[in-house]
Amino acid sequence: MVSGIQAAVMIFAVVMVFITYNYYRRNHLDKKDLVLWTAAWAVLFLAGLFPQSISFLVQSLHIERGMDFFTIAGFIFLLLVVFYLYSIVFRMQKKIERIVLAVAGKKAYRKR
Amino acid sequence: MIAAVIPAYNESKRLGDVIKKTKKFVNRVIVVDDGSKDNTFDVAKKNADIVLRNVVNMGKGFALKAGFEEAVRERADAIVMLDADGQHDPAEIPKLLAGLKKSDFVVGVRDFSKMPFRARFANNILTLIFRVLFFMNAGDSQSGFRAVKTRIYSRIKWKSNSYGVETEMLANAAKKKIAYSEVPIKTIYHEIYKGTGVTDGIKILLLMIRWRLFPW
Ligand SMILES: Nc1nc2c(ncn2[C@@H]2O[C@H](COP(=O)(O)OP(=O)(O)OP(=O)(O)O)[C@@H](O)[C@H]2O)c(=O)[nH]1
Ligand SMILES: [Mg+2]
Repeated sequence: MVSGIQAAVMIFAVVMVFITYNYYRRNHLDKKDLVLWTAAWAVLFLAGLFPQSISFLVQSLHIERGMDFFTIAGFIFLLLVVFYLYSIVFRMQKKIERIVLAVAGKKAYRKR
Repeated sequence: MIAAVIPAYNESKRLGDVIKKTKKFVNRVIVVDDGSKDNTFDVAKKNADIVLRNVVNMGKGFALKAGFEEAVRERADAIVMLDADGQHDPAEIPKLLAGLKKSDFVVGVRDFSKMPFRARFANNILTLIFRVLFFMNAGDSQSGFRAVKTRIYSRIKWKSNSYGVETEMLANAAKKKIAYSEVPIKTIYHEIYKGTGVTDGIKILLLMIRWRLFPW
């Protein structure tokens, strides 16, 4: 029997696969991202289908319930995403600064 | 050689007048048009000696940095910075420059009691917290009307791209023990509350704490 929460996880994973593929088609993601994200959703789908498969992990980590495992894993994952996004934004900011300065220097008006 | 750096963002209305008046007191007027959407660039070109244009809006701190770097390239001995919106009277530039005779960094201090309530409140709080955090008896940590000797610029150089710039310059000067002085300037308010808002004030406050705790 597939419980409600399991079904929800699986539907979520499937929807995300479609969204990810659509992003790839519109060039918002490259091939590497497509493979990585699809794999991540696949893992999530399997975890929803066979919740027992993660129970050994849950037990070895001394976490009481399977749901707690998801909450903790989700939280860690979010922190990683925030860190990753921060580093991207930081690098982009530096690049924009360099570009703006370069263009400003080239197009500067100087009275002679 | 004295240079003036004027950061301008959508200031076509008052910029021309500010540049014309500033020219009487400095050798080079450098305007940085910070990605304005009006014709600030044309107004600047007509009046200033040098005009830099950021293709997108980067914020006052970044615009000032671009202007200061240009002044360094132009081999200015001292740099005056003032706002483009007419809140700083260029006729007071000589007063600031006179202050450079006995120090390396001069800040024009406004009379808080002549400000509209909100501005008075914000400036009082920010300046008070600044004094406590940086052990410096500054009269006006937010004032953007200042004069700096070019040789100390690298020591007070800031990282803030937006409104934190005034505070960060002053914090750096306090930490590096730069010879500092103040002169009183006029307090001018045209349209009320155009610029720095409540969120900017809170950001500046948090930044101050960060610069104190993590100086790198
Ligand atoms: N608002 C704003 N001003 C900029 C920017 N870049 C340069 N400036 C200039 O910085 C100066 C100060 O801007 P204001 O918005 O008046 O800020 P303020 O004087 O601290 O705030 P008020 O007391 O409310 O006038 C003006 O000369 C602006 O044209 C930017 O990105 N935003
Ligand atoms: Mg202003």
